[in-house]
Amino acid sequence: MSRTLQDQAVEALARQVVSEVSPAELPLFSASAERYRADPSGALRSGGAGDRALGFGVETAVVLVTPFALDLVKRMLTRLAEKLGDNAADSMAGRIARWFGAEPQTPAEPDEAAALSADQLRVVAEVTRTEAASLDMPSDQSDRLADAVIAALATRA
Amino acid sequence: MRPLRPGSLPTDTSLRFLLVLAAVTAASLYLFSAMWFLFRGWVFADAVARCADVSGELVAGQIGTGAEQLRAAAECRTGASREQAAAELIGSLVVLWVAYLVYRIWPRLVERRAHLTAPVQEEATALLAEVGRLSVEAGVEPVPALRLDATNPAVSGFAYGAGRRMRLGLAGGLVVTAVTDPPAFRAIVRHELGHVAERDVPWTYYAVAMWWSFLALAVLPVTLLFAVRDLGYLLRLGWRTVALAGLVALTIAALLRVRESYADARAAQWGSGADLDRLLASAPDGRTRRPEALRTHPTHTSRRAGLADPDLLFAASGWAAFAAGVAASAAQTSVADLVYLIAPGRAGGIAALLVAPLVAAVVCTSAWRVGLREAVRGCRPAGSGRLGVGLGVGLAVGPILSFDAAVGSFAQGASGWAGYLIWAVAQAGVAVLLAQWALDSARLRVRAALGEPAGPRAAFAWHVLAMTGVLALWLATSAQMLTVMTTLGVAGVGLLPVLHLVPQSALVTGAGAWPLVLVAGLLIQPVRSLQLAGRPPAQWFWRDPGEVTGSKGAGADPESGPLRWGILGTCAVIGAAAGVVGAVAGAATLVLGSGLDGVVQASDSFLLAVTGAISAGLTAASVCAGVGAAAAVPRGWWPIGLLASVVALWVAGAGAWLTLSAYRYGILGIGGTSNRPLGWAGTQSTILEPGLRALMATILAMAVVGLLRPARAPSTSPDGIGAPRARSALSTSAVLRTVLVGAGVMLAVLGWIGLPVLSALSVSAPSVSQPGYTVAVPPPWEATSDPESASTQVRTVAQDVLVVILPTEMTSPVDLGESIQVGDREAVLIDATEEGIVLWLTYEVRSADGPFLVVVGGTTDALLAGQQELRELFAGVTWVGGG
Repeated sequence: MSRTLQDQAVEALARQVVSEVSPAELPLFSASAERYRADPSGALRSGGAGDRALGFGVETAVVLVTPFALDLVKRMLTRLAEKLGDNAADSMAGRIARWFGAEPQTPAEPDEAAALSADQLRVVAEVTRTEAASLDMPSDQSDRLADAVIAALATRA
Repeated sequence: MRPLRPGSLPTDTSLRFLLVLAAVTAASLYLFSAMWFLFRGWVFADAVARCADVSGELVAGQIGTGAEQLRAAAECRTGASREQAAAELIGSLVVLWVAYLVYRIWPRLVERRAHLTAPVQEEATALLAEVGRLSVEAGVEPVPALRLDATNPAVSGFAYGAGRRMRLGLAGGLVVTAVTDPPAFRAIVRHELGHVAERDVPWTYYAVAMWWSFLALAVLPVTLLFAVRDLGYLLRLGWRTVALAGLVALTIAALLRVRESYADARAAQWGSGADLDRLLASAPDGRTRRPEALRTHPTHTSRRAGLADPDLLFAASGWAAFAAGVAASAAQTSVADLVYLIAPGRAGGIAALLVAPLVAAVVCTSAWRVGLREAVRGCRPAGSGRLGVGLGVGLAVGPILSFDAAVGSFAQGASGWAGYLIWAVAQAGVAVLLAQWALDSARLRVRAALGEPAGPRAAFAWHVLAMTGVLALWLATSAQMLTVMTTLGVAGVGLLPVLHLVPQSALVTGAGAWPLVLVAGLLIQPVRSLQLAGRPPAQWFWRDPGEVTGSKGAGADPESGPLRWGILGTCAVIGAAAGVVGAVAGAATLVLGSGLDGVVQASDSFLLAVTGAISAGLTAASVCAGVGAAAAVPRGWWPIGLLASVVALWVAGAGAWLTLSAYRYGILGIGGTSNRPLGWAGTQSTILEPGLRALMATILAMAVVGLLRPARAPSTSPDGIGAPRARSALSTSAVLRTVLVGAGVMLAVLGWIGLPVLSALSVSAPSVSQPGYTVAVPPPWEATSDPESASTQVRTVAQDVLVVILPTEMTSPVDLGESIQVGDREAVLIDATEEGIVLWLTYEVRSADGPFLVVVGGTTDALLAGQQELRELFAGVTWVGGG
């Protein structure tokens, strides 16, 4: 499945966020992103469909932030597109992708190397915190995710 | 203390897979039989109706011919049986084949369902390296491929795959744990590698695939089809279907549980025991409300106990024995139906041989694991009771779940169920003895086998082979006995004109044969005692105590037998005990039989009880005395004993049959035993074979005990867990000599003492040479010249067929030695001729002239020849009873 520019930006920024918040999940990142692309809501539902009867038999679990990080970044970009328009959102997606290591197939725009302005950052922070609050996870963890997203973009800016 | 290696013997996991396979096969045979009956039942009904007529032509009223009549009916029904068996076989194979397909594609289904994906090499370098390291450390190579269920937060994993391609599926939570809690990660991965090392993954997935295939192709169609077409029959089949499906489900659950225990043991062996224990202690035990038997994982408490004491894996499993018993005995009749297509004459024996390995493997595996634990730890052996009771109950319950039982040809009526009950109790009792014997043999052999370079598996395989032979004989015998005690009594196909007598015959057969069977079981006990090393009773039997301790030879006299004469006293006690058992069984059965149908009379009860006591006592005492007599037999005479034993087996069988034939006479109201040989053809009768085979099984068992005893044993074992070896109590030659010479003495006792005693019982019975036997009254009816018995009429309707009509106030000649006056001569109403038994049937007749007793007598052949005349003679007569 070919990934869109937005997908690339989402995964690039989310990987950065996961590396800050829960680096232990990095071995899972590509697999999680693939699963999220195929079925976003399924990836966010906790409790996988592993073969429980034939499994280890001890029912403990951890909180995996990767699917939520992917979801948060995707929501943030979607809301920015709604607020700023598709062109601005695409531009931001391209910049995010390049900043965080992805190599978009589209040629770079002249302003893609530029950092985000203070206003842009304020809008991004506002949107990110709003979307994080609606994530189906404990608020302290969603706040941590939002902080990590904003921090990643701010340090680039 | 070094832990025992769970894999040093076949594990319970492999055993339970076999059980699942057997249970699914047995249940499928049952359900596909039902399905065939639903669509093609009319074929069977037609065959039964047609073959009842065919077998009816053989009717002679002789109970001993029941088996031949049933066989004739079965042969007549071959076409329908062939079709039914083909349906069973094809259906069951389809279930197993579809299960195999499911098993092969299951890994893909698992990966799709759990969204498993391969890790990206660059991302998961450390993870892959760690799993590879753990795998190599554990000796699991090639390293299983990793697949990630990345968004699953569970701290869990599972091994899966088909064939040799094994994979580990790791949930996202477990991958995170590799960083946050590496020991816990290693413990869980090692546990999953344990499954791979135990090679239980293919078995487990194939077992689960069998479950789904069985449900989809057998249970569901049968349920739906019967619900639509024949709800009443569904209810009749239903509980058996539920029971069989339940057996399959419980066996699979047991398989899933036990594999976890073995994987835990492996992980602990590789250094993660403490971490596994920590994980189990800290995590909630899910589904605690579900009964243990239905859980797919052991409780955390059980798992922690297993980690603390891995020796718990070396225990006897009563449940496995029960499941094996049920599966084997439920499948036995169906398998016999299948074999009948190929080998009609030996279907029962071959079927027993086919199901026996399953039971043998279960019993021996448990016995060897217990034996290994005892040998290494020196702990007290336990579990033979659990093993034996489980096996016995399973073997007893299985026939109720068979298709034969479902279609109604099994234990109908109170007498049928009484016969079944006697059979079941005896079956369970002998199973306990067999389990004890297996456990004792295993304990002795495992000590020597631990020292073998190849480990104990080879010796174990030999033991399974031997046990298979014994069990096959036993299962064939007991199946035949069950048929006699239930089916024959309720054949219900018009095979016998004396059906009202048959329930008693079945019960009496049980009373007559089971003392022999119990004696067979009792004979195992002396062998056990002799075999157990270091036991004082064993030493008591031997002239040289060194025979027991293994240091024999110093003071032994090479020309004298190895056993003390004192054993004779023991044998006499055992013989007397067996006699009491025979008497009680005979009397109890007669009381039961009389209570049910009120036919058997008190004098017959006494006769039967006494004869039963004599039979059992003679058999037991003679065999045991033979064992004891080995003490006096010089070494080197064993070939003579061998020859004698072969003859003795047949004589013993004939003796048993002669005794049992007295039962038949008693039941028929003629009384007494014949003083003329009844012919060797009779030794193939339904009644003889079980007793004879029981004796043969016993002697074979005794021989196997001795012949397969390990001859040598190094002092250390390859894995260092062997204890100093203790030698077997009994040398091979001693056991062989004991058995063979014992059988020889049995020949003497039965041939020279038993038969005269039996003959002496018949002194009051008239002889064939007695004047007056030949009553020739010319046809047609002719009144006797006896004025006191004017209404007594006698006539012959064919050559050697005599009909006597008596007024009802006259005593029916049912008592021993009874005779009646015919004319001026005394006519004797019992005898046997060279052609066979003279049969007397007594009927109550109501006619215009009043009630009569009609006694019809003659040889079997003569009666058959005179059937037409008899029909004409009694045309229009209203039969009140007996007819």
